[in-house]
Amino acid sequence: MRRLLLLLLAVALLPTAALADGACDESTWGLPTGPVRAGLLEGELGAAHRVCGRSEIALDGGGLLLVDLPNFYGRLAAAIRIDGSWAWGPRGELFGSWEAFRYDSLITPLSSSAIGIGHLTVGAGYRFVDVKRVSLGVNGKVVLPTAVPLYRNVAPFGIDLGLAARFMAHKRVHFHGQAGLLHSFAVGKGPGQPRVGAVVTAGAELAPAPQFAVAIDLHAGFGHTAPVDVFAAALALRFSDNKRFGFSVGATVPLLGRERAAARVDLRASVRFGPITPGVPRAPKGS
Amino acid sequence: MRPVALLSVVLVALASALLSGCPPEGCLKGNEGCVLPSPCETLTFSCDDEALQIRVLEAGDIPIGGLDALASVGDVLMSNGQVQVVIDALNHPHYLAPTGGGIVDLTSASGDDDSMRHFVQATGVLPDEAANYTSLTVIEEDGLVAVQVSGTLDSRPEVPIHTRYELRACDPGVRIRSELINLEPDPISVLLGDGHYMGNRELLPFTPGNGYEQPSFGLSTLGDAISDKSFVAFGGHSDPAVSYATVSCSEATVTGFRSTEVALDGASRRIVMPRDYAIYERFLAVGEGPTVSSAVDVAMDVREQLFEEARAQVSGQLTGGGGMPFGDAVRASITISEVGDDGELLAATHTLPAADGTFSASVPDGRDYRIVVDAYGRTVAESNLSVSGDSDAGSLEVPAEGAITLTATVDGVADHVLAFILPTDETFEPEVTSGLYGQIHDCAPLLGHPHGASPACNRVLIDPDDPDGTTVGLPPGQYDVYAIAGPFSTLGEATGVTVPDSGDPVDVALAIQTLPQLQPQGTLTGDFHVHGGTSFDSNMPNLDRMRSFLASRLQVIASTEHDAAWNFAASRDALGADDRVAIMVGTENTGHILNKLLPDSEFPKVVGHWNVWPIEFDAEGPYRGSYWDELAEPGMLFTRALERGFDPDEGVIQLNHPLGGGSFGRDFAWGNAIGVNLTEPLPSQFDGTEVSLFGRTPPEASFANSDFDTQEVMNGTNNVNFLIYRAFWHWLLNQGIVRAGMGNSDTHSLTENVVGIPMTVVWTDSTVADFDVAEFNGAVKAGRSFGTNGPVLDVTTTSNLEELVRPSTEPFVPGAGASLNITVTAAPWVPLEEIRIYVDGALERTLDPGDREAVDGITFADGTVSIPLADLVGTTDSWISVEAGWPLEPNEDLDCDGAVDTGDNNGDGSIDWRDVDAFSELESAPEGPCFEESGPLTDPAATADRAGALYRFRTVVPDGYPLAFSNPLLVDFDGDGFDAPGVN
Repeated sequence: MRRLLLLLLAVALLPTAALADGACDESTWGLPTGPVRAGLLEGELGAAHRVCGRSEIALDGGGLLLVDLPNFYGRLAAAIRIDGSWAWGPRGELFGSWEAFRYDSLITPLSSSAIGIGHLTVGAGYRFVDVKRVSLGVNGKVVLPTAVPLYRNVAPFGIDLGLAARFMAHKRVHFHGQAGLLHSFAVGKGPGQPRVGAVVTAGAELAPAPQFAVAIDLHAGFGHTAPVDVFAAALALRFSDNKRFGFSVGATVPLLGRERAAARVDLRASVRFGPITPGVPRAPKGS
Repeated sequence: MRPVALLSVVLVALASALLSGCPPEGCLKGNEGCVLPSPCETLTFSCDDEALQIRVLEAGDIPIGGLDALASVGDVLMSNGQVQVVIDALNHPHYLAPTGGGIVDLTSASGDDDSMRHFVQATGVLPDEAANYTSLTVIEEDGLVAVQVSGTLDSRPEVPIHTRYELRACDPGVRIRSELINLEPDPISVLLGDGHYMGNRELLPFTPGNGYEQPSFGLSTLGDAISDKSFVAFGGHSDPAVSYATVSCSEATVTGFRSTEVALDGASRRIVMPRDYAIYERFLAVGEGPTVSSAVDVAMDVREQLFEEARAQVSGQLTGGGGMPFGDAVRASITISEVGDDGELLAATHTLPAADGTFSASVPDGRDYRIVVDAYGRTVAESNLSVSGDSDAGSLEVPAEGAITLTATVDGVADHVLAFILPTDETFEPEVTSGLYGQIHDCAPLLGHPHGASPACNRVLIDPDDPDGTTVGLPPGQYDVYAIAGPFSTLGEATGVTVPDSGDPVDVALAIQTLPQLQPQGTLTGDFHVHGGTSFDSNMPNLDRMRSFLASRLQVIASTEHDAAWNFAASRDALGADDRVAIMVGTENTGHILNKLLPDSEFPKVVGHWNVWPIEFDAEGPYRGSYWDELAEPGMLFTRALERGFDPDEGVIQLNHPLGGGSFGRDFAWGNAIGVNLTEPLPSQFDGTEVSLFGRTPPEASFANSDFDTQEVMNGTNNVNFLIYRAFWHWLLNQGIVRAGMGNSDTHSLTENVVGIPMTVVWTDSTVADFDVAEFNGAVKAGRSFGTNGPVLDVTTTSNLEELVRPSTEPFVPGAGASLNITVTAAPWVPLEEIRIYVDGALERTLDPGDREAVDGITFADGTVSIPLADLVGTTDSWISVEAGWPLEPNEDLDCDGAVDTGDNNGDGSIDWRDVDAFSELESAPEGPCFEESGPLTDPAATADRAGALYRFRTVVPDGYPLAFSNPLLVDFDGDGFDAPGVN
C-alpha cells in the first residue's frame, strides 16, 4: 500500500513538458476541457476525446433516459464510473474508464432490471500537431465486455478511432472537433452482428472566468445502427477551484435520428495531477 | 500504432478466432436451415407402447375431439401412445397469435379430450411481443418427431425467434425449446415463454403454494403478479378434460403470471442486450382426466429427473357420503398442502377421488402435509400427514349428503326443463353458498361446476328420457325448486323440499303449463347470441347446451361461438331437436390482438364484438366455418365473412353490447373503442378521428363499419347494462342511423346467463317446420320484433293507408287520428308495474298497466292502452319506442358522455360522487361537474320478500327485472323519408 501511494505521488509530480505552440494552454490547471463528456453508446464508444492529454483521475456518475410512450418502452441506465488518464510524454495520453457500478432498468408492461459492473474502456491518444493555435491528434479506444450481469451469453466489443482537433481562437474561447469511425461486434454463440459507423463532433468552449467554462457541442453519428444514428446537441458546465479540482455537468440530447434516448447526463469530479501551470496562457509565436 | 492499442486489437482478434470456431448452437446464428437442438435431453420416460408419428392433417382424418378442439386440415399432428398434439398451420392463427405455429390442441392418447385453447410463444403482453412465425418444418429423427417454427416477434424483424416442439415415444407431454435473439440496437425486456390462452370459465391455473388462488392483476399491475414457481399447472374440470403442467428444463423455476383467461410462463424475466439471446426449454405435461393432480404428478416426475426433487405418493380413502359415488368436481375433492414453518398451508396438489372414494397424488417427499377434503364447496374433513416415502393418509369421513330426484312435465308430458334450486330461507342460504374450489362463481347451493355440464351451480337440466328422473346430490337442508318452459309458461315450483342426510333421494316433480296465448300470433322466439363449448369462454358440453335450448322453448337460435362456429349436429340428432328449434350457424367476431385503430392512436385496441349469421359450417376448417377476425375494422370483418360465403341479403350482422366493459385491455364494445360521446353527433364522414371510424369503409373492404343490421339493446339475464345499450341505440336513432334492436342472452353456460332470457320475438311468416332463413332474417333486420325477458309487448298504430303498423326500421306516414296502441301481457310470475313511452329517446309517458285478469284459471295481465299519436308527437318526424315491466332504477350520467353510468349505490337518496366506486377513498368531491370516473349502475335491488313478485321472477331470471322493449315507430309525417330529430 505504501509503495502504491508513493508511485501515485511520483506520477502526479511528473513534470509536463512545456509546449511552445498549439491550443493546449489552459486557463486553469484543473478545469475540464475538450468535448462534452456524455456519450450515448455503451462505454462511451464513438464519443469524442480531448486533444490535450493530462494526468488525472475522476469519478463519474451519469445516466441515460429513454421514454418511448407510444411503444410502451422506457429505459434508465445509470452508472458510477472511475476515469483515469495519464499524460504519456508531452504529446501522448493513455486513458481508461470503468463502470464500477451499473444499474439498468427497462420500463415496459413486464419490466426488467439488472445491477452489476459495467464496461471497461481503454484508450490512447497522441497529439501530432501543435502549431500556432491549433492542435491535432488521433485517439482511439476499445470497449471491453466486462458488463457481465447485463450480457449473459455474448461478449460485446467496441472500437473507435478518431482524428481530433482543437483551435484556440482566444485565450478564453476554444473550438474543438473530432471525426472518426466506430466498429462494434459481439463474440459468442449468437450472431456477431458487426456494425460500422462514422461519428462527427464539433463544439466550442467559452471560459469567461478561470474557474468556469461552458462547452457546447453538436454530435452526429451515421451508419452504425441506421443511416442517421443520431444528431444531438450537448452542453457542459465546467468548474474548477483554480487549482487541481474540476467538476463538470454535461448532457447530450438527441434531436434527430434513430436514437430514442431523451438525454444522457453526466456529472464528473476530477483531480488533475502534476505541477500546476500558470493560469495565463502564453501567446503563440508570431502573434 | 502504439503498443497498447496494438495489444487490444490482438486480444480481440484472438478471442474472435477462438470463439468463432465454436459450432453454431441451434438457430442462434440465424443460419438458413438451422435446426434447434432437442430440448430437455436428460428427461426419459418408458412405456409399453412406443408408437410415434407425425403427419399433416388431411380432410377426413382429424382424430382430435373435445370441447376445445380446433385441429383442421393443414395443421400438423404429432402423437405417441400417451398424447396427441396439434401445431396449427402458419395460416391458421388463433386468438392472441398473429400467425400459426402454436399448439392448438393437446390431448391424452384418446384424442377426445382436448382442453387446450391455445399455446404460443411470447416475450411479454404487448402485440409486438408475440411470435410471428413464417416457416414451419416437420422433423422426423430416430426416436422422435418434431415441428420447428421460425420467425420474429410480430412487426419486429430484428428479433428472431425459433421454437421446436418435440415428441418422443412414451413422453406424457411435449418437449419445447425456444430461442430468441435481439438484433435491435436497443435492449429489450424479455420473459421468453408461452402465452397460454384459456379464455375464461375453462382451465383453472394451479401453482405450488398458491393452489388455485392466483393474484389478480390489471395491465398496470402486471409486474406485481409475476412469481417464480417450480411448476405451473392448469386443471380442466369438465368431462372429458385433461390437465396440463409446465416445468422448465433450463431453469429451476417457471416465471410468469396466471389467470383464468391468460397466462404467460417462461424463463426468468431479464434484459436482453443487443446481440444477446435467450433460450428456454420446458416440458408441457398432459394429465388425464378432470383433475389437476394428474398433470402435477407428471410435473413432479419431471422435476425428480431434472432437479432430483424426491417425490412420494400420498394415498387415501374417502368414506361416508350417503352412498352416492364420488368422482365429480363438487361431490368431494382433496387438497394436499404442505404445512409451512409458520403453519401456513402451501398447496401442493389437488385431486378428485375415484368413484369408490380412493385417491392418490404425488407430493414432494419428506415434508408435513395437511389433507383437506371439500364437499359442495365446504371443508368437511382434515387430517395431517408426515410424508416420508409413499404414504397412506388413511380414511377420511365425508358427511352424508342429500339427494333429490327431479322430474318435470310440460303440459303433462315429460320434457326438457331447467330447474333452479334455491335455499328456502335466507338464514340457511349462507350455509350452502360456495364457489368451486373457492374460485368460480358463488352458488347456493353448489351442485356442480358452474360452467360445465349439468348440474351446474344451482341449476339442473331435467332429462325427460330418464325414466328414473334426474338425481342430484346436494347438502341436506330445505330447498325450493323452480322452473319455467320459457316466458310463455307458468312457473313450476316445489317449495320447502326437505332433503335429509340419509335415505332415498327426495322426489321433486315440477308441473309446468305453457301459455301459448301469450305469444303473439305469427311470431317466432329467438336468441341470437349463444355460446357453447366451442367458444373459448365456455366449458359446456354440446349435449347439455342443446338440452338447454330445448328447455328454453326457443324456436330460433343463432349459434354464435367466439371466433369459430358450431352446428350442434350430433346433439340435434341425438335429441331430435330439429323439430323444435331452427338453428342458424353463426359466429361472434371477438378481437384479441390489440392494434392501433389509427396511426396516431394513443393506445392499441380491438373493435368490440360482432355477430354474423348464417355462415356455412366447416367441420374441418380452422375456425369451423368462421374466419380470422383479428387486426381488422368491422367493415373488413364483414368483408371476410362475405369471402367465406356470408350473404348480406339473407344474413344478419349484429353489433353486440355496444358500450361498456372489457377485459385485459380489450374493449367488449365498439362504442368504447372509438370513444363515442352520446352528447355529440357522429362526424358525417371520416375525419381522422377514432369516433369517425364509425361510418368509414376500411381500405379494401366491401362494407362500411356502420353496415350492421341490428344492435343489442338487451344483453344478459341480469340486464345490467340495458340503460347504456339503450342510450347508444337511441343516440343512433336520433341521428337517423336506424338499426333493429335485439334482446339476447349471451349465454355461455347454465350459470351467468340463461339461454333465451332475454329473447327477441320476431313477427315472421316462417315457422320452425318451414323455416325460411332469408325471410326470417329479413324480418329481424326490419325490426319487426321486440325484446323481452318476460313481458309480451305488442305496439301498433295505423298508417295513412289505414294499414296496421307495428314497430320496425321502416318509416310510415301516420293516419289521421291514429293512435298508439299498447298491449302488454305476461305470465303470472312476471310482474308488470309500468309502461314507458319514449319519443325521440326522451321519456314522454309512464303508465300503469292496470289490473290483471284471470283467463281460464290462469291470470295474466291484459293492459291495453291507446293514446292518440298526436298527443305524443308534434308535426315533425319523430320516433317512438315503448317499454314495459319493472320500474327502472334512477341513474345519472356523472361523466357527461351522454349515457347514464351511476346509481344511488350508497342509498342516501341522491346520486353523486359518493356513489362512484372509484371515489370510495375520497373525502371531498373531485373536480366536476363531469367526473373522469363513474359507476356502477344500479339495478332494482334484490328483495328479501320471498313472497313478492320480483323474488318469484328472479328465481328463474336470476338478478333480472321484468323488461320488454319495442323497436321504433318511425313517424314520417310528410312521407319524404324519416328526418331524424338530431342529438340533444
